[in-house]
Amino acid sequence: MTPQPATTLRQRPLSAPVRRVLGSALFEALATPHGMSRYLEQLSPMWSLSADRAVITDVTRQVDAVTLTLHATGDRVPHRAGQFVRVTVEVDGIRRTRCYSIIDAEGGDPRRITLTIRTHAHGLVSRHLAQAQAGMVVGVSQPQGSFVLPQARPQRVLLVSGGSGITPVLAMLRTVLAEDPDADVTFLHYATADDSVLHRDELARLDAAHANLGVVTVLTREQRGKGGLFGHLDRDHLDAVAPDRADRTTFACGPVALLDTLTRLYVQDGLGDRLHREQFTPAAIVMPVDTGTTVGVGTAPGTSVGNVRFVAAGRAVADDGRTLLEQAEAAGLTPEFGCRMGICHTCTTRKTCGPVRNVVTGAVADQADEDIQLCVSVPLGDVELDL
Amino acid sequence: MPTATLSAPRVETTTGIAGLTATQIDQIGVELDAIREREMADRGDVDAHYIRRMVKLQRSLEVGGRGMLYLGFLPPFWVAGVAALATSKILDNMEIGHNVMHGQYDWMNDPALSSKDFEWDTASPAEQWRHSHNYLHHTWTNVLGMDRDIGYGILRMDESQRWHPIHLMNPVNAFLLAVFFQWGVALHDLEVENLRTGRKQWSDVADLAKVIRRKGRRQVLKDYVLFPVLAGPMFVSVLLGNAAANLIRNLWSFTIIFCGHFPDGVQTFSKQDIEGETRGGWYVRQMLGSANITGGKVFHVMSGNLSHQIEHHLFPDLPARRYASLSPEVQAICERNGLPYTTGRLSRQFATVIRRIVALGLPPKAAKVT
Repeated sequence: MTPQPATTLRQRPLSAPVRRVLGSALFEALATPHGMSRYLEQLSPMWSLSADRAVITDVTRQVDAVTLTLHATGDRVPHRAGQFVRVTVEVDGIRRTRCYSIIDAEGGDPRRITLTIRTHAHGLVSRHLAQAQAGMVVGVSQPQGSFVLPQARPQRVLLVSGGSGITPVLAMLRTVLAEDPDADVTFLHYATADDSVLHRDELARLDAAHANLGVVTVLTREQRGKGGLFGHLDRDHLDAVAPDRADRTTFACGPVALLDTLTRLYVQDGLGDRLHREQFTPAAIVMPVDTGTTVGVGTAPGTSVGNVRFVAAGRAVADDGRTLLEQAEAAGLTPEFGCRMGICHTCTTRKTCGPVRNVVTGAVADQADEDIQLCVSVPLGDVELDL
Repeated sequence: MPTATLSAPRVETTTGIAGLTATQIDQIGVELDAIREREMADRGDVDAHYIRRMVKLQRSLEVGGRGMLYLGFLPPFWVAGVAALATSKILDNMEIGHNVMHGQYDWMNDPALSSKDFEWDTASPAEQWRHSHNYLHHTWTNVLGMDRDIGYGILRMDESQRWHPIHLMNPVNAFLLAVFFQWGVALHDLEVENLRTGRKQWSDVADLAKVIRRKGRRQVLKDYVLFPVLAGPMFVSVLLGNAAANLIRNLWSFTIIFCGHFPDGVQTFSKQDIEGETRGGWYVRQMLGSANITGGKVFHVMSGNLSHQIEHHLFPDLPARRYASLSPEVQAICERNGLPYTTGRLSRQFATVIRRIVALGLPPKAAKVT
């Protein structure tokens, strides 16, 4: 029996047998149309019947980051090293969702999820989580993502990361070493300064304990470094740290510049297929050019600010400046609509990511996982819709 | 004070709606847009806290009410149980359901309060209600031939609607609609009056009918089969209690809703009246086509803030708790432009509605002007 974390009864998720009973056809018929979860969550948010909540059981704070251990509700799918979860918190009444990579090794209790979150100065969610206390309940999705350690473990591995990109590859490192302490792994990490290396102590400990593990930390803002390595990633770094990278499967995660440089070097050497990468990027906002038109008109026709992707339909079009409702219809989709003037909310659709502007009010909506009205929204960059 | 008439005289539209100039109409639009923007930007914690508290209250009353009905062999518990359950159904229907489905809380990104996903404790399927209410009723408010809320397809509620002998049944039909209101609302999107005349075919609405049957079945099973059966020997008592709660909700919501657009002083419009209607003109039509009811805070919550029908029609997707505070500003705009702001006590407003139902049920020659 996996020991339960030290939590109160109301913080503990409902056990599987209890969930089966409360979620049975009889109870759901008594609770129609809202469903049993909506009543149970009035007693405690952790008593949801779905796998969508977690209570924070442990908090470890450092200067610019926080490591949280979560205990989740429902039937959890075990994660694969490298995957992330979508975490939802409520800030000023609004629920906001962000993706965070799981740093646990595979094979543990799937209800237990550990995350390390870097605090950004203007980060709404990261600052909220930086102040989290044990007992706080958040929304958490099932593990997602295709940046994973393959089931057939590679013989030799190179892990490259920058900043908070260390999180998914740390899960990979822990998994590989747990399965084979003598695994041949090279770990190359970039950070701005020594004290901003997340999990620095653990990396040092693993480096000392595993003979075939090589951990190299490079500080990008230094003028001098160990073994002559400093500054940003370049060919010299790779040659010094992993001259045999043609024989290694490489997993990389970090800032776009780091990944792009690495990709370029690998492609140049004909090693493009040996590299797997995961990108953490905030939504980019392209501010519309002031064409002198009044509010209510989108960017000049013909000016494209990016792509509009209709995820469910599996279609994408280049933005043409019109409202998303018109663009969806032009792409052959038939979204529901009503007044076409922003009043009736019939055309409300989930925008999974990307920035849009409301042509009536001028307001910009740039969050992930938020509902927008298609008839009065124009894209300001690449946009993805659940349509 | 103008003499009371059965319905306000049709407005001449040589200059524009209500005799306003285009400039005046535009200015009204600008002022109301400014209010809308200000209120929308102010949404936050307070609104979120309010709706969550309202939901908690509704769920508690529902569970408590059903629990008390199980002790209904003691009359005080039966009465308290019915009162609690009826209140929970009213809150679910009006302050929560109606407002959530208008998108008033979509900005919270909470799937439980999302207008697209919310389902309410009544026979009407939410999606069909959103179509006929949010879209049709709110876009073409009080436009004869387009707003089917004018009479719901079975009542004659406006002088311009042609009288037919069936309308002699107006008072009876209104009474039946009130008693079975949740089923009337459930069937609304089917357009039964058009099915009867052949303007619409049964095949057109087969899908809608299937959804109505499914939702209705679940509601009937819950209130009239499962909860009573689980009460064992208390079967009849629980069944009657649930029926009473549904009846109270039906009568109350009918009363409030009918006071929204049918009291004296509210205007209707023809399709010609709205040709070339601007955003400002839409705002003015909403004000002229709606009526408020005066009352205290509890009354406003129990009416789902539809006691502020005018403010609701101006800002349907603004959290309804804000309507009361906007009332003075809206009244000022009406006064400045010589527009009526129709409001009154519930008893008086509903009395004029009943009078209208009775009078318009009679053939036009027989109608008395008082």
